[in-house]
Amino acid sequence: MNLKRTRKMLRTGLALGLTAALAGGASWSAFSSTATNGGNSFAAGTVSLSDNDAGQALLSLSGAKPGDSQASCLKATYAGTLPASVRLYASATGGLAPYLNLVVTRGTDPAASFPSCGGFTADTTNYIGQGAGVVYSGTLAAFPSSYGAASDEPLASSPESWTQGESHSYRFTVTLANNAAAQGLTGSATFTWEARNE
Amino acid sequence: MSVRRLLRQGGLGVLAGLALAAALLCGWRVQAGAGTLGLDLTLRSASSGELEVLPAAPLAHVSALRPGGPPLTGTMSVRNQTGLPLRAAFRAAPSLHDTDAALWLELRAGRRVVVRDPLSRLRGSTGGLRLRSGERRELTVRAWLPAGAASGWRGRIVDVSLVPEVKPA
Repeated sequence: MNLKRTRKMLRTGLALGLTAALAGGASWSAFSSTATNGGNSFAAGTVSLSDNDAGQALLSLSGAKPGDSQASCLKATYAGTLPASVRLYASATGGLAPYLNLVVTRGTDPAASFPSCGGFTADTTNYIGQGAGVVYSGTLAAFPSSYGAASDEPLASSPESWTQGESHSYRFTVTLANNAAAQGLTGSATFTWEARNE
Repeated sequence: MSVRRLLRQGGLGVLAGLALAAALLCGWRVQAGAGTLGLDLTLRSASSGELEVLPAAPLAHVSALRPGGPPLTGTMSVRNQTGLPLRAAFRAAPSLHDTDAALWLELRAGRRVVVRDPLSRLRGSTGGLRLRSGERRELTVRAWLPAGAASGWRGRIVDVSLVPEVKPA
């Protein structure tokens, strides 16, 4: 009886072992297959702003008399992949800057052709209370001279984040003031649009 | 019920369980597929200050481009918005370089081929298109994997931006 019972138990144990081995083997087969994930890539974003001046000057007044004025337009395009805020500032030199009145108006120009303002349309927003689209009105000397002194476009209180492909046109109108002290003076200016992702 | 009978029934149960387990494990195996994934490709344009490129949205997209298959085709218009005549070239900026050897691009202005090269040769600007101030031109862009294309395209998802680079003509 003991021998029979032992055999039975052995058979039972063998069957259980076989089942476990088969299930374990099948599970191992199922779980041992591999999957690969290649082609992972890493790239930093970009901040890139450019304009359509092709190296040409935007404004040029020569032999000007009081009240003489010139208007030119420039289109700035943002091509960076990261959203960025943009500030406009200028580096002005020479004694004439306090006698040059400057109005900068932001708008759109679907057919921009530097420095023409033929297709320019001002933004409808009255940003600073000086008229539709006007973002600056004052003398060239008082124009913000650095990134820190300037404010985010178009208005400090409602800065805009530029995204890839976004563009804005700017009309610059400069007028020589009616002031005898301006006689014989000269000046120059470099305008800079600076985009930063912050 | 005797102990012997119980053991006999238990043995039969174990055998039945063994058979069932074997059947289930063999039957539930997922058969391996015979196909391969294609290339998921998006062509994009990018404007610069000097050159307006439209549309701003992706030019074209395909989800399973394969070697020898029909090319992905899109059109874009470029316009010189400076006051000078320009020579415009294009550089391809892919999001992934795996397909550089396999993927070919062609830019065509009317019948004239501006550039026709594998992506690897388009990392630097190539080709050239002369544009007068204010002039607009339509360009056709084609991308394809030639039959027998090198590896590196299977299952990849790639965005290729065509970045304009200009200089005075």
